[in-house]
Amino acid sequence: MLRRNATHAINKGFLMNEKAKFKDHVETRESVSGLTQNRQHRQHWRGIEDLESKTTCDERVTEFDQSPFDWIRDSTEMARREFLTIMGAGVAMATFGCARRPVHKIIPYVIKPEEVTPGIANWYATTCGGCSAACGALVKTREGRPIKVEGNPKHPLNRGALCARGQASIFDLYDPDRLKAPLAGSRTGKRRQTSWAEADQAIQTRFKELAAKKARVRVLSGRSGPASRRLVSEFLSTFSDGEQIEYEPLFDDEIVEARRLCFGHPSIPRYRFDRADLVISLGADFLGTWLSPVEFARDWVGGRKLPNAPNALNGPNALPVKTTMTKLISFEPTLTITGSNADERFAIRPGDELKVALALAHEVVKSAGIRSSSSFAKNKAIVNLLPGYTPASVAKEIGIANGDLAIKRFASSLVRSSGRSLIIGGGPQSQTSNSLALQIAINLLNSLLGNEGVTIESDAGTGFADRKVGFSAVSKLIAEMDAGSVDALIVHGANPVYTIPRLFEDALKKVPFVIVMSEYENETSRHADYVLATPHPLESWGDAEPRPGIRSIQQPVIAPMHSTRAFEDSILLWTEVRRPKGSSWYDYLRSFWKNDVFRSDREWLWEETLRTGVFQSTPARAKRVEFRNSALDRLGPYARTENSGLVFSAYAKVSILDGRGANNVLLQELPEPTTAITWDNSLNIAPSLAKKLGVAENDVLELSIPHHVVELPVHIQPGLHPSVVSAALGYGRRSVGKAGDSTGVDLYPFMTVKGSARFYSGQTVRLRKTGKIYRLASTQWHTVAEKRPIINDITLAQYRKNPAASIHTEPELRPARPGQKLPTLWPEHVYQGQRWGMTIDLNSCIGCGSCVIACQVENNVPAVGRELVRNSREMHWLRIDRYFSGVPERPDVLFQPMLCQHCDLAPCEPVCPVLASVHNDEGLNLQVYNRCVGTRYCENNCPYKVRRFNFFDYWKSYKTTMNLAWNPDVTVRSRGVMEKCTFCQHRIKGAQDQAKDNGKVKNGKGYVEDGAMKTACEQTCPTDAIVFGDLNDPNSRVSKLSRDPRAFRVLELQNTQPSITYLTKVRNKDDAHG
Amino acid sequence: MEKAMSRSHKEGGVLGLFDDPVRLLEAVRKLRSRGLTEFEVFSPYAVEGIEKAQGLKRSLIPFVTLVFASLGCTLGFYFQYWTSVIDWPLNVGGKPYNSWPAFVPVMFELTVLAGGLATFGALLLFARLPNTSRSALDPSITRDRFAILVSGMNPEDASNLLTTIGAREVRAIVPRGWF
Amino acid sequence: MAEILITGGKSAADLDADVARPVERFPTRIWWVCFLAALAAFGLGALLATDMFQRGLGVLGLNITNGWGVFIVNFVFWVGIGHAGTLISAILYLFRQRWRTGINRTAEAMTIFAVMTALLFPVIHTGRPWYAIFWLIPYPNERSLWVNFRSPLIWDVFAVGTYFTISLVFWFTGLIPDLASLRDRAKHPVRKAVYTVLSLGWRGSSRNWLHYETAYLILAGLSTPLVLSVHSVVSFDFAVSSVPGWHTTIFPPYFVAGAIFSGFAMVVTLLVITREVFGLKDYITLDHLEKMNKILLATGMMVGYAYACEFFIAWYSGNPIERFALTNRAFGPYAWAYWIMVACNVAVPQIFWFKRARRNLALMFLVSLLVNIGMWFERFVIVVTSLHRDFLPSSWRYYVPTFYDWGITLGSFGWFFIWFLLFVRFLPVIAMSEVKAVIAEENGEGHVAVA
Repeated sequence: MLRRNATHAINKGFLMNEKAKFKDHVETRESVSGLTQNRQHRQHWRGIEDLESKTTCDERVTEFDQSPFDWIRDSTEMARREFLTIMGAGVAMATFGCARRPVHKIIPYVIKPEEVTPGIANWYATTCGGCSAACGALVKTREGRPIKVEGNPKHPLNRGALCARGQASIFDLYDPDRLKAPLAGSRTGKRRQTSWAEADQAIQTRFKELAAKKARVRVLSGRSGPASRRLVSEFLSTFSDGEQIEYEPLFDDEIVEARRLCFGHPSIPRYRFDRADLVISLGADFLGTWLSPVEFARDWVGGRKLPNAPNALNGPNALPVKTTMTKLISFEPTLTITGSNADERFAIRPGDELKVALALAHEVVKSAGIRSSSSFAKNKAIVNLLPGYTPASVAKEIGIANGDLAIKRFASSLVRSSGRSLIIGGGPQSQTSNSLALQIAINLLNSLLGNEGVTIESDAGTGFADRKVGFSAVSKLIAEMDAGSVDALIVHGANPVYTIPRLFEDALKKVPFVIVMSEYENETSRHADYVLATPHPLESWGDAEPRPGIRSIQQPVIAPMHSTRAFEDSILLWTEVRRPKGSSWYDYLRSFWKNDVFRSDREWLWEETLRTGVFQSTPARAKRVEFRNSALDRLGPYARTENSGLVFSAYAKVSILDGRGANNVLLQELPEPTTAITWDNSLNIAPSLAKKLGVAENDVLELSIPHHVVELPVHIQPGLHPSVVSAALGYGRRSVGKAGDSTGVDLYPFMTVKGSARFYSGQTVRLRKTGKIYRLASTQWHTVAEKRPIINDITLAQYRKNPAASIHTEPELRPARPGQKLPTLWPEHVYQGQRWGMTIDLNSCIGCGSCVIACQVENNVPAVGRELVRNSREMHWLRIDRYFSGVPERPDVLFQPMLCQHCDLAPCEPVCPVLASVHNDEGLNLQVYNRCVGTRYCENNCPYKVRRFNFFDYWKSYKTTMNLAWNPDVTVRSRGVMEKCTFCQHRIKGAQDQAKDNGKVKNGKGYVEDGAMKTACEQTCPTDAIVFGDLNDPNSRVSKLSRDPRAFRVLELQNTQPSITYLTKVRNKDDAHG
Repeated sequence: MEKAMSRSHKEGGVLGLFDDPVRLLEAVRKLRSRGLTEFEVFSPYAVEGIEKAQGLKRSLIPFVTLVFASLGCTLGFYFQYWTSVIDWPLNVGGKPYNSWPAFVPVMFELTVLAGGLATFGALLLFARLPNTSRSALDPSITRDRFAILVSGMNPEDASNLLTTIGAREVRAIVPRGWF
Repeated sequence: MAEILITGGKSAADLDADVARPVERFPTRIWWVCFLAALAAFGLGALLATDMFQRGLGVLGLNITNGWGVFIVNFVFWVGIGHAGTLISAILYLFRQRWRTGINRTAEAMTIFAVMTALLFPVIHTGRPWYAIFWLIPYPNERSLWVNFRSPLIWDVFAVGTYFTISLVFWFTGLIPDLASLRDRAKHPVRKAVYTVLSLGWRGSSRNWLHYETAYLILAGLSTPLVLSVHSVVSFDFAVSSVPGWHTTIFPPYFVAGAIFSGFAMVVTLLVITREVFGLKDYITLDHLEKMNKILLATGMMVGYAYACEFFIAWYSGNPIERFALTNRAFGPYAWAYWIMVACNVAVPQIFWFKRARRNLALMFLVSLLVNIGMWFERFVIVVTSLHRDFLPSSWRYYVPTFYDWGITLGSFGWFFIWFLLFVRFLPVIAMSEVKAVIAEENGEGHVAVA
């Protein structure tokens, strides 16, 4: 009996206290989480790159041991006071139902607010601040401190999922490099911290003067919420000439402009991937970085899911599964995850998308009998335009081997699925001088096929008609600034000096009064008179309108940790309008929502919205949109463009995006899905080009266009056009913080401006060898599966013939029949009760990496820094392996999330001399941290290499405020200890305790219903590729899926009997052309 | 035999020194033929056949070794069985609690360890070692000479006897506990 | 037994004088030079190790894929060295190879010190040595946790531990009579006192000799299977695991052969030096060394056979992953290490087919050194090349040892030689009592001494 408790104690994973006898299981969650917090707040780390620095081998710290007396002794430290303040804040906030109130005194925790139960998390709905997509988020707070951001299941956009950036955004909140107080005099060089009173005083007098005279005041912001926009316009209305401009560096202005030209309606339409059977992406990385990736991924994957065949167990003899799949075709200049997931992908030069689009149009029009296109067929403009764009000539020019056949095929299947197809394009990697033309051509195609209004919904909402959005607006601003006619500029949520190099910086010098409001110091703030620290989205109120009909609320989940003030609060303060005394941004927001969103006085609506985080209304549909031929004037007839040189293509990584994530260590260390490179951006070139130039991986090349030169290390990347070099934007930040500064190379200077349009790609570049070497920190060196039974991918045709087909692996390394039971020497252990397992559908996994970050945040997995990644010591419990197959010009890419397989016959366990690695009665492979002595034998013997060793005391790398990000439910590992995926076992225990409370008990344990508990990776997966559950329950999703004919286990013949089952990837392409 | 041993170093006696093993053996045989038992033989190295000449019994050490070795073996297994099946059974890599083949190496090692240490212990016991209070009767014995110590006779008779059986040098040993 | 084992017509008395000379004299300059050098090497290692304990194993070249590196290589290497001693003294004793008497003392001493050196590494290579040193031993701790007897590492603890203990006992038993003669030669009271204690008051009475011989025989009998078991168990560390290139049944004999090979090589290295420095040419004769070289030749070919056999098995198994592991071993990124190994262990010893080579001091010294290098690389090849590319290509990596790896390795040599030099300074390097028997036999008093 005692033993069972002992193992039970291990299971709970609360082995914080070394002194704790395994036998005594009285250790409660409280005491443990208490201990974690205590020990965390005395730790000041020495910076990621200082990890090599000497640290004394402190027994107390090296062990998980922590006596209350240390706590008392250490309690004199600053960190603890800080912590208590925030605790108090949390309490206050929770007590007042999240109304932000300044905290005047430390509130001792003995007075427990009813909302907060120590050890039990509180969840608050808000809006994700990771990017401008504005997904809905739920924030998990413990004792008043947010510890994790998850997707809000009730939010129509992301429906519970969240991307890597969103998951990592919690680290921005606790980033020690954040601005902690307002600064004055940056531009004059006499930069000093100042008080809000002082700053307001100066600023308000300045604005009074400006209001008096006919002054030009401009506000430049990122994409901001309706309420905020309204507030700013009110503020600007007090000046004779005020304008607010919104600028997102990666936003496709062309889409808006093209829709204005084609349909007279400037807006970003709603792309309905869920309605499309055939998607052709001309450069747009809609699964990773384009517009609203999580929403798109979720919609798109719906059509990709294959039915869970009931006759699974029959294996190969199973009846052919009749099934269809959404087909994705991609023409793109650099390898993005969208291209990697495409059924057919073609590497092209940036700018050639237009020709492809028009060639498709050519074919579509030619093929008779399309209802919607009949009108077009007689259309003069089209008749004059298209004839030149024959698939043959276009394919020949853009250099695709028998591409004419491909284009013909695609055109005919487009016609076949007209009204159910979707053509999209955009994104920096394909943004060239003819991007606008491309968007027009795309609109033309979609109209031809009658997709408008079906797979593309443009809502009759405000759109962008009355807003100054995009680069055209900015270039106008720059012109004004250059003319010296702008008297004051407020920049918020934008970093133009970095994203619009030279141009903006020079112009900015001519503006007499500049205020920058930002969470961080940044390149722009260097040129400001006042830099006003703004709170993190998790610290402030706000709202967003991702698309008409969806209003998403952003509420603070923690009081500002530093002396920051919301942009809106400042604006309110400075606005010379009569308002009720002491009315805050919160009051403004409420009344705005009351009058503009709810349009009713019912108070409960607000409460309800705070609870759900989103308010939906049906937007007025636009009447049938008609394509205006006038738009076609922007397109010229076919002319062969002679570009012999190398063409540059700039793209955005899923992690760093436009550079906003640059100071986030988690994002910096997230391997780029397609290159596996961390901490740097590389110059990606095709293998053939590398051979031609005679360069190898890590050789530093000089990349130059007429007005700029940079040096970048080479990464040889399959799936690139032989005359294209690509590199990621968002690197080489100059003033953001420790992690972001001078990491990688800044490529915004390569941005080329033509008229009022800017484009990142399509420039002809020159390369020169420098002879230097720079070791890129890559997490995967070998990308071919070597025919080993690790992955499996088949075509849809093969799947229909035999769903269990496995073609790409050595037959002798596979069991004769799928799911065949291999003989074992010993009688196997039986697992009564629940036994945990997981299935991962390779057909759904898009390799976006959000699970990797989710796992890190959930399980206190540290980022280790570039140098240690170079030494292959990254700590990711869950990694995403990518494998290439086929020819290097047109590789098939396959992503495989790889984590501890929790094998029944785990090879890691018998070799551990001290029983630190054992099995529990739920089929979990446990790692007992405080028993582990670090022989690393388990790691050697693990065929999947998913165990991670603490070569140093990584927890020391958590600086002051970062310590608040720890998840108290998960042990913090010390140096010299092995760790690995636990199947989020603390979540399992939590769910079991809950089940127990609800009286659902089976053999002494709480019984967790299927789906009642999700692992962190499963929870955040945008494509629901990961399913976790009870293998002993024949009806659970996981056991059904593990019986699917596509099911296979990695290295099955090793007979480790993993608890994780993978499902074969199915590519929707005809073998003939595959 | 035990009596002789014990007396030999309590009392003194007469020591006869020889130069080579052949003479020593002859001398020993002669002494035995005269029915003399209370004498001790010393040599720098083990002289083959001396124990026969002197009529010594076989050493008991092998039995001691056997007993302890088999003890080590069985206890070795039982300890492993007890820890991994009875005291705290754990599922290690799906192996049965009693993975006896895995226990064999440790059993073997413990057999040898117990046997070896017992052998050495027995040697010390039977050879009355360590006993540092006494020491060599003559330094040359541990170098290259051989000696017979006759005790329990009066010195004259003893020395005469030794010279007659061919001792090169005869000397009386005063019984003293130390060198 | 016709052959002459001791040259120069030495008597037992000369033997004593010759062997005891270095012990009774003040150490020579060469001795001091060597000793200080060893001390310095050990100092460096200790310094680096201390720093490593304070900062973490990250200072080494290890990574996720290569969980083991140079430290484990050193462990196996030194345990291997530790084999010759007991082999010579036990097995050759059972086979009544009297020529062993000249060399067994040195060889046994080498064994003891080699094992002492080997034992350093399993402890310091762990992430938390301050626990590993206790927790690998099954004792009733406050959490009433036991160890995992299924783990080869626990077998190691017992195997190497036992081997060390028994070798020590065996060695000391052999020393007792010689210590006694040192005692009786001693003039200086302190030395006399010390050797009196060490010799346990041995007087060489026939009754004691009787028990002594029996005990020695039994210990020899026990040590013989022990020698063979130790390296078999060490080889289980690899053979029992599932790593391609490790998971093979040939390992136990292969490792034992390798161990004897490297052990004898080290003995030759040391003897060549010792006999020169201490003028023991008449006791450690060329005949002895030639015999050693013959064994080197033989074991070298056994090892070569093992290399070939590995490939055959890999091919015959029909398992592509296994095949890859071996191909990668010989032609992969670590091919250089592999071919160093083959050259030193298989090619070089072939020269001992020639009698002249077998009896050439300089040559055999060089060969023995090369063999030691080759055998170190054999372990490197086994440990590193198998690990760096195992099942999942996604985690294939390359392992590069750092300054810390090399420095601590050097330190281990320092540690070994410190002990060895102290041994030649304070203890008889030749089993005097045994050699005396041999001398007697050669001086015609043999007919009694012959068994």
